[in-house]
Amino acid sequence: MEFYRPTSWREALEIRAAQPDALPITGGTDVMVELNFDRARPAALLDLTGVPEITGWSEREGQIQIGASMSYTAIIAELADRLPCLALAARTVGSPQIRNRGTAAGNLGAGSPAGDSHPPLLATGAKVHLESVRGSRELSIDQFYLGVKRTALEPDELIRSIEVPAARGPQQFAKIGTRNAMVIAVCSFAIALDAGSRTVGTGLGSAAPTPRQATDAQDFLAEALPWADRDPLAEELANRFGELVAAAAVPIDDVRGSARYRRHALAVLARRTLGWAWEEYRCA
Amino acid sequence: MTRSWVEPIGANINRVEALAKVTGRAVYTADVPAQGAAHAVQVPSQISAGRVRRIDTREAERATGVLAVLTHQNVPRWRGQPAIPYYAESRLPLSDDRIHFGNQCLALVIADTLHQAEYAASLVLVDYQLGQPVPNLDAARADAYPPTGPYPDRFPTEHRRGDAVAALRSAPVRVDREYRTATISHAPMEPSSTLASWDGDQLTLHDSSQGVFAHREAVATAFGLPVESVRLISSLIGGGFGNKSYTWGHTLLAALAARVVRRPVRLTLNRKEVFTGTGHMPAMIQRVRLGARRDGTLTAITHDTVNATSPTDDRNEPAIQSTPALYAVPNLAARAQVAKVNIGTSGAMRTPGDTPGQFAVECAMDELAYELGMDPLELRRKNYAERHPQSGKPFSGKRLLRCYEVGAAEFGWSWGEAEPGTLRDGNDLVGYGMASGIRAEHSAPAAARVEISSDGTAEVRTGTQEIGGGTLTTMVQVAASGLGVSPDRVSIKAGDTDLPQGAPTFGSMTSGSTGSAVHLGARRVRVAAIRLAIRDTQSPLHGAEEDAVDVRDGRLLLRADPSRGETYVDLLDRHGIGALRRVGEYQPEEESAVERATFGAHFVEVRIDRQLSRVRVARHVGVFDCGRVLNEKTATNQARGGMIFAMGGALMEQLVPDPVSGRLITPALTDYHVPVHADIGDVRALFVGEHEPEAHPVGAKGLGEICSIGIAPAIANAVFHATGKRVRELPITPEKLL
Ligand SMILES: Cc1cc2nc3c(=O)[nH]c(=O)nc-3n(C[C@H](O)[C@H](O)[C@H](O)COP(=O)(O)OP(=O)(O)OC[C@H]3O[C@@H](n4cnc5c(N)ncnc54)[C@H](O)[C@@H]3O)c2cc1C
Repeated sequence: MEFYRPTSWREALEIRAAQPDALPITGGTDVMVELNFDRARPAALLDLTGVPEITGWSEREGQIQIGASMSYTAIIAELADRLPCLALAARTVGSPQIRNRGTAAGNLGAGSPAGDSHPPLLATGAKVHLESVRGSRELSIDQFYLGVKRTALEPDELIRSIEVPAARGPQQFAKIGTRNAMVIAVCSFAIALDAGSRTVGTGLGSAAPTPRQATDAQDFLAEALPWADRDPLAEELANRFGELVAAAAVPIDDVRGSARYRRHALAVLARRTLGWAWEEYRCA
Repeated sequence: MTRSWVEPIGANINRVEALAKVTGRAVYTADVPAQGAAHAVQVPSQISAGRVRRIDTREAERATGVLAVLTHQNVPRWRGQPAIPYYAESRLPLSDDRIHFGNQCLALVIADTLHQAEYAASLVLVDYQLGQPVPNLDAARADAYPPTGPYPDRFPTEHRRGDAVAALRSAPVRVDREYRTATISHAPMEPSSTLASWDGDQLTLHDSSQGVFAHREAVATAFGLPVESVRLISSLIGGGFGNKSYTWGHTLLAALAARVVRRPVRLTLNRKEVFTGTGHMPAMIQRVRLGARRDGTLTAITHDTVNATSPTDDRNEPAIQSTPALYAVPNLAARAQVAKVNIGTSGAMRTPGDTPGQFAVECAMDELAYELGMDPLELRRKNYAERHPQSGKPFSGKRLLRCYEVGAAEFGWSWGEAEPGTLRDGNDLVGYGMASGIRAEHSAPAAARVEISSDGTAEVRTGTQEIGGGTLTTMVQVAASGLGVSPDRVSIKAGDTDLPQGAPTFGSMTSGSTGSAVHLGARRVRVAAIRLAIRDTQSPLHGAEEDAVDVRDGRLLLRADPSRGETYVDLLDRHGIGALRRVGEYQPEEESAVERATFGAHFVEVRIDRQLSRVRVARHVGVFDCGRVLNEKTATNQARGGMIFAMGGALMEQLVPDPVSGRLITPALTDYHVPVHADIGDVRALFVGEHEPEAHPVGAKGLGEICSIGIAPAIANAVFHATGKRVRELPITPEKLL
């Protein structure tokens, strides 16, 4: 098997264009599992960890650009204040070793509906920057996911960065697993309140063939929340929100959980995270 | 004297191999260096039932580095059928074209390097003739039958006393329930590994083995060799739990491959093979009926079990084996059946029979307690058996009442304050549950050579195995105690059939059996040295009575006047003896006047998220009677490990068969979840055992298995108390509580 290790972004794009069957690898925490289980036998690997342009993060006009090779550990250490939801999700990924290697871009590349980065990125309205030798394009996150492990990434494209707006209000993330750590989500949920525009973002994980937003739930909440009075959260409101989130889910039965449990649990997570976020908003 | 003497048995010393383990220098079987070893890889079956119509190995044979490809068509004939269970199956690998379970080995590829072998294995083409698989126990249950063959010969399929049916019929209070347990796996960290090399007709095997002597015999039989022609060496083992108690196909195949290619061959299982081809605890369905008087006195127990068994062998999971011993009930009937499923043969897994069997009975006891409105602990006390209720013999020691007492106090057990489903703390439902456990104490012949050298160091040699429980350390302590030297002077050689025969490290036989051999050997050395001294005119101990002499910290001295004495070093030096050595031999009695068993009591607090139904074991107190504790540190570690191990089986672990093919869909650690640190609450292990020489000369009993019995029912009973809902099927996943 060929192994490419470009040392510049340009070089990486050129190899990608010349050899679309070279599988990109960043943290390798998905790729190596696929190889180990013999589910994939790529002709070549394209290692992106030697590319300086995609490390670290930068900020411009309230938008954070997360480089494709920035690890979860670094996201937690450096971005927990600006991107609390993503950092919360990052904390629940695997183990310290996995967080040291794994990246949000890799999570997107893998495209698993259970990936923990997806709900926060959906809830905050993130964008994905894709590039190829042909040029670059920007996709809003909800356009990126096409199906189970299928994404909008073209064969000659690479993810360069993920753009996430710095938090404009309380954010929360919650995940259920069959145990308390080192676990793929049975289901997960993220919520982001935008105190300025008085809008709500949501993201559902392991709830459908692709990660998705619960748009009806978002619209309902944006309308119904007592933004100005900051009243305590009414139970009926939280329940209605939970119902709408559950209604947005089309989960399956698998070894980790039943569709019925997932739908039920999503409603619970939605109510809970909303409760936490709303308390934070009221007290701010 | 420079330091104060501490009795080595019971001292909380660190493990003798601790430093090697934490610095990565410890050698496990797969680390054993082998110059020029070739590598073998098994080709797995993609189907779970059928035949190999054709197998095409031509491309694999042409691949780079490939030395040989063995299939049922060209494999040399096995020379004998090893006895079950130390070889686990009656079908030897590659015997014929039949396929009995998914991932079964259909061919073996041997190549210069592991990667070459793996690649070539992928080139083997199999033309399958599909059979009709029986995917799971539910599909097989209707055809359940009483097992025959070597397994039921070892583990009886029926127990009776009195007339249970009549007693049930006339019982004023009855419980009649069905309980289910899932297929679960040992999931040891270390996948088994074998390194085989031949020198003429002499075979040396490095093998991840929990019983080198038993396994040597199995291998020798398969190759038609006298046992002396096989040397089996087991280095440190990365977790056994029974996974390495029996030999499986890969061990024989590695030896066979080495013979065929005339080079040493290494075969290390991959994770999937550990799950599919080296045993598991089979899925079970159990029916328990209890009859009792209104005051809680049990009048009858019936216990009927059926477990999944492989197409090749009738292995009954011995879940009924301890039922006759549990309570003083006059009428009892227990019966075991099996049902054929297309899955690999099951094996002994901590704790064979007793974990699932006592899950069923101890849950039923809880149901009876609630039926009677009686404290479940009181119900157990009420039916306490002072003597073994089946044989009528006394126990060598039974401190179960003390386990109850100590556990209840430590836990703060009080019953009857809250109705099931009513205790809350914030968003959590809270529940308390308890259960007890019993495990028959087994024994095996064992020998150990102990020596003290003129430089003051000592050595133990015995073919026991270190599977992670601390055996090397406790054996060193037993020797140190017998000799009267500090444990840091004692080294140990183990895990090798060239050493005196130790007991296998399964069936909880190490402390009692191997421990007694070491104890007897060390005492013999001590006595020999004392005799040497008291007969020696130059010794300060000359003329003393044998009984009046003690040995502490390497110095023989008069008990009444410790200033009079001399060291082993001086004594041996003066006599020109390099080393004084003796062999200790422990031979279990054939017919015993006593019954031997270990006991445990468990008290558990669960907290269950009210909406999400996830169960957490917040507090767990386990109290054990395992005789004398050899090392509180290793014992506590072992016991807590066993409690957590069983908690995994109760709450999350299951190997899930595909409902059509029966192939396991979770044979990987990604989906087969064992508990992680974040799942572990306040888990306490306490010991009430005392020196019990009536059990074994060393005064200790086994701990490795009793510590996993009684946990699942205690948790399930606590779940009922928390929720008011009985879950009679393990694992207790959130779905079952919705
Ligand atoms: C033990 C373990 C535990 C885990 N636990 C979790 C968990 O709790 N939650 C969770 O969400 N995931 C978990 N994972 C999965 C994995 O860690 C995550 O999906 C992680 O985000 C992958 O990132 P990576 O950088 O390692 O990706 P890689 O493995 O390097 O790549 C993953 C995919 O993305 C593609 N890719 C990578 N970088 C790019 C790029 N710049 N442009 C285009 N395509 C790219 C690759 O070709 C590949 O298809 C776990 C994995 C393991 C092994």
